Amino acid sequence: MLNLNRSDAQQRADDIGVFNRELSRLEAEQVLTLSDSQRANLHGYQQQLLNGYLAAFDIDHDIQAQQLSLGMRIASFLGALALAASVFFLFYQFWGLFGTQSQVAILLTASIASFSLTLWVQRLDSSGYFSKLAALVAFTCFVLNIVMLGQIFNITPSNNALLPWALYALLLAYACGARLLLAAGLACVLAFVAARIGSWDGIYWLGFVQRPENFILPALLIFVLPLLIDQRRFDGFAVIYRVFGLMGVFLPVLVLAHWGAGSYFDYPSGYIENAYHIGGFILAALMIWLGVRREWADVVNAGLSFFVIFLYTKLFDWWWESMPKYLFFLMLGLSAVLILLVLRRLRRRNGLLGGVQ
Amino acid sequence: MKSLRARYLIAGLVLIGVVNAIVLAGVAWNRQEPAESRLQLSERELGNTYAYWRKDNSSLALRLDYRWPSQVNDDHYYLSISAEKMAELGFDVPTELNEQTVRRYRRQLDRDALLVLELNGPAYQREVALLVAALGEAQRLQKSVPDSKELREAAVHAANALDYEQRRASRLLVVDVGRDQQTLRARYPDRQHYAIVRGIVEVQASSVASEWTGKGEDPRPQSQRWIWQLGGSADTPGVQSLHLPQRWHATFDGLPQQDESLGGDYTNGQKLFAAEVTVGRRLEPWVVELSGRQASKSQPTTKVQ
Repeated sequence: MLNLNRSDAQQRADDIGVFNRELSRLEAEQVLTLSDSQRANLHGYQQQLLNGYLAAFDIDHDIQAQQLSLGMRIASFLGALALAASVFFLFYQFWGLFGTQSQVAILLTASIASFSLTLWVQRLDSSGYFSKLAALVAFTCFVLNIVMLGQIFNITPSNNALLPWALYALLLAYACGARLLLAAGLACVLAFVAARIGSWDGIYWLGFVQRPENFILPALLIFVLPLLIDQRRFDGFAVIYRVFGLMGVFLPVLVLAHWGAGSYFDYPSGYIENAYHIGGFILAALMIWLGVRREWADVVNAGLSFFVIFLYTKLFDWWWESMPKYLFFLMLGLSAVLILLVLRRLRRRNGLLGGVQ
Repeated sequence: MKSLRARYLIAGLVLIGVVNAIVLAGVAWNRQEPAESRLQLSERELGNTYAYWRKDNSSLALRLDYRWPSQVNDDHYYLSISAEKMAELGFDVPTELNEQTVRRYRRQLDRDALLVLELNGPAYQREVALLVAALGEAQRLQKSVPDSKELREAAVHAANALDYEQRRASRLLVVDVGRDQQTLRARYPDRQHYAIVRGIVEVQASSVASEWTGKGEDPRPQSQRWIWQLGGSADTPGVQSLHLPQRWHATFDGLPQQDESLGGDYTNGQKLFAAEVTVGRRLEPWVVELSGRQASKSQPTTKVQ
């Protein structure tokens, strides 16, 4: 089961179910009949596979289990957020009652204990729900550790804290297969690199948010990372990298398409906004093409979403004031029909979007 | 799988340990002698931070209250840092002022800088002298027109302002801004009265209408009817909240308070204390000592009838 993640195992289990149902139909229609020994071999092999997947990944063996899994994921996510908030407020409620040395010792112990607990839970919990919950609490403890050391000793706020937070979140994400923590880690990496670029030559580090272009380079690096480092062993990680990378590029482009004054380029705002708007269209179209070519549904969807956002914001700029509202919305509707026609054409030519390969 | 988990465990523990060690080593280095500066402050310079979620937060923190010297001629919009100083701090300051150059000036991002805070020195004495002069002028005007209610109120206001300045206002004033710590320290060698703290400087530009002194209607185009003023202002996020260690919480809670009969509304219930604040090598401050003090029974300098 090397290089197999939970999604792959679940997909195979689903395929087995579909295959068995189709086989039953074919046998009922007397198109195909298996001998008893063939049937026994087939079912034995399938059962062996399913048992292996169940033990390794706690996959959903039927539709009801899938529905329950979704509920468990939601409960795990909400529980993790609530527990993280609880830890946060617990510290603030009582930390003033302790001396400085005790405060430092408590913060350090909380980080170490929560991290050890996470790995211990992960060893026992094949489903991953509880270990992911514990991992988020561990991350909260570490963030609090650094933030509160800063408060206790009046340390000047800086972007340096983002780097250990990023490393720790990524470590926990890979240890527990937690996509939420992967996203948190990537957000910290993105902010750290953007702040480093933005604070070049004596600029205050928080100024990086006023120049959205700072995010584009690190976001592109995040996008290409799964191409350089294989992520197949980690369920859904490559998708998180790609989507996060795309958001890190598209959002700054979208912001600059409406706020040219935020650009590093010293040209009139109107020029910059138009350039970024056109750039946004081209980039979205490129991403749709790339997604179709590489069979990355997430990239296609992200490209499409931003293409529509760019289109609608531009139509709003052009026509909202000058057109009667019924005409404006008619144009939006017609543009949606046009997009549908283009997508249908793409679907016929490519299998990714549901057509025939 | 087991060895992989062991690797994660080691990596995590090393990361937690190394990060904490780096932070604590930085704190130890900051607090090593000799300190960068040591200031004897009071409740006038250390305000209680506004803790809107106090019932959920058991810590105590004090805010370093400092201010900028006032302008004598306050007709125009006041910019704390001059254009010349902004150029020294690394900002591009245009020589020719028009819409285009001012727009370019304004879009520059905030820069790191160092602020020199002077405690109870010439800058504070100047503030007091300005208010004494203002009070003298207000009283002179009041005497010249004794029946004027407005002038009487202006004199009372001036007396109150002077009283506030002498008894409550912070004596900590920003006297210089720069980029190089050594240069600033050489300029202000007294470490008991001059502290250097980290700050952020942002650009500011304002325009004031230039009056048309010629005859008839103003023939100048709209762009020439305004005079641009370029400069900047500074903020100090690092000293907005000074943590008060737990060993002084009881002292702080039991501090004597300003007697209501002694002063105006602004002193009522004010906790009275003296505190020593040290600024370390990394320019990070901390409270070294805190003790209660008795209220001074100073009277307003001049009575207003």
